Amino acid sequence: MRSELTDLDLERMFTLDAGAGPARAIDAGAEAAIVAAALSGAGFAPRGGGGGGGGGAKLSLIGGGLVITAAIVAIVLVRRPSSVDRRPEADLRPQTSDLRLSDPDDGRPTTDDDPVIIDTPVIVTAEKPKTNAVTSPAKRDHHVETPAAPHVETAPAPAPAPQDLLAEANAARAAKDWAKADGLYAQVAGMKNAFAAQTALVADGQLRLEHMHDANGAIERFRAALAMNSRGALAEDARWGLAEAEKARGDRAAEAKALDDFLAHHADSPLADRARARRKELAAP
Amino acid sequence: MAALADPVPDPRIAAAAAGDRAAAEAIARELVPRVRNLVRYLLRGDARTDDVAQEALIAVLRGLGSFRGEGRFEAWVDRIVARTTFSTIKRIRAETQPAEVEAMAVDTENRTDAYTERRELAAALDRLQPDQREALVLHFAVGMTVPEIAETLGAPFETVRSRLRLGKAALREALGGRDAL
Repeated sequence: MRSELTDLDLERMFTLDAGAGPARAIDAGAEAAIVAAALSGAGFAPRGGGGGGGGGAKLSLIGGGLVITAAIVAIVLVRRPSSVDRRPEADLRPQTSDLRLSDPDDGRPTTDDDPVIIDTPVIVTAEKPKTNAVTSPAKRDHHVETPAAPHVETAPAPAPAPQDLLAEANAARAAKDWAKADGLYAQVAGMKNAFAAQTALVADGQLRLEHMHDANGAIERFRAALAMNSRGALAEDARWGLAEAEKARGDRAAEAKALDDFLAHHADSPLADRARARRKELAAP
Repeated sequence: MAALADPVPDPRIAAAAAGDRAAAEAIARELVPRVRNLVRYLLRGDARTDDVAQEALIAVLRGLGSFRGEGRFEAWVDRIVARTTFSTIKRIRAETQPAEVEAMAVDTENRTDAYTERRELAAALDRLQPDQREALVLHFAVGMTVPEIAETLGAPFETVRSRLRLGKAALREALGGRDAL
């Protein structure tokens, strides 16, 4: 017997719990990836990474790095193994990741129609290969195995992937090699991958501000990041960075303007209270 | 999940707010299915669900220090997730042309009845006006009252009532006269 759905039926149907649906079923690995990226985004250091997490309580000097970390983690999560490709020759074609980033080249959110394409470099062998080895340039000296067969055609060396460069930049930063990190971030900022480029710009802006005493350079980079996407998750870090950079320059009027802009866009930010407090200080005679 | 729903605040919440990664991870792991489900109820199509769920989870973890234990933790989480999702929806609307309704396969193979039913419900919601959908989800899934929905959506009471009424009618039609249980 058919009858109209009552409110009670709807209440039962709309059950919200940790059970199945309506979100599409995903495997435990995909769930773990979401959790890992969220923890990084919220400022909790990776396991064994030293230091505690944040929950907003341990924000860095300019509050940045949190979303950037998440962004980099997210990029790395979609990275395909690129060091060795042992697929049969017939299957040597660019790979499409099943995971999605909010990041196509034009900066708009990704849809299923916008797969993240990560080109897998190819070595085509005429004879039985020992291996189809491809490494990033930094690793090439150590890992390339030359096929024994005489006629080997190799595809042109691929450009380094943004995630490799970001990882390298972060390593340089951890080693306090600011100049190297700056150069690597700049390289990523010039790439077509808008999400990676914006990540690199914000990270580089923070580097310039915190470690290279270059507030002007930091401002340039934060502005460029905002120009790429003024509403994305990284915009909060960029706007806060602008305010901090203006403070470093000693331009109180510009700092106040930057704080106003920050509060107008991110009133719920964990940094909002600090922004309001600083704004009051600036308004005081 | 029972611990998180307990009237006495789970000690892991305070621990996570103080920077305990293990506590935060445990909470996040328990919450992620619920967060994904609420995001999917609110968001048209599957494509962005996990991205938005991740953003929402970040907002929850960052905000743990502001949870006062005055209500159910999950209700507090739901509100943050809804707010984050609405923020994303606004951004999507501002940045992109209205998307076609995603052709969503209701993958029923080897699934429970509950999963199938909720997927069908989400598919039906995808065909509703967004403002009606939001009101319905906040009311039926999150359990908000009309004034709470009005405050959340920034809409007058009467507008919310109207969205609920029209939304229910549209949903019943979208569900196609299914058997009431």
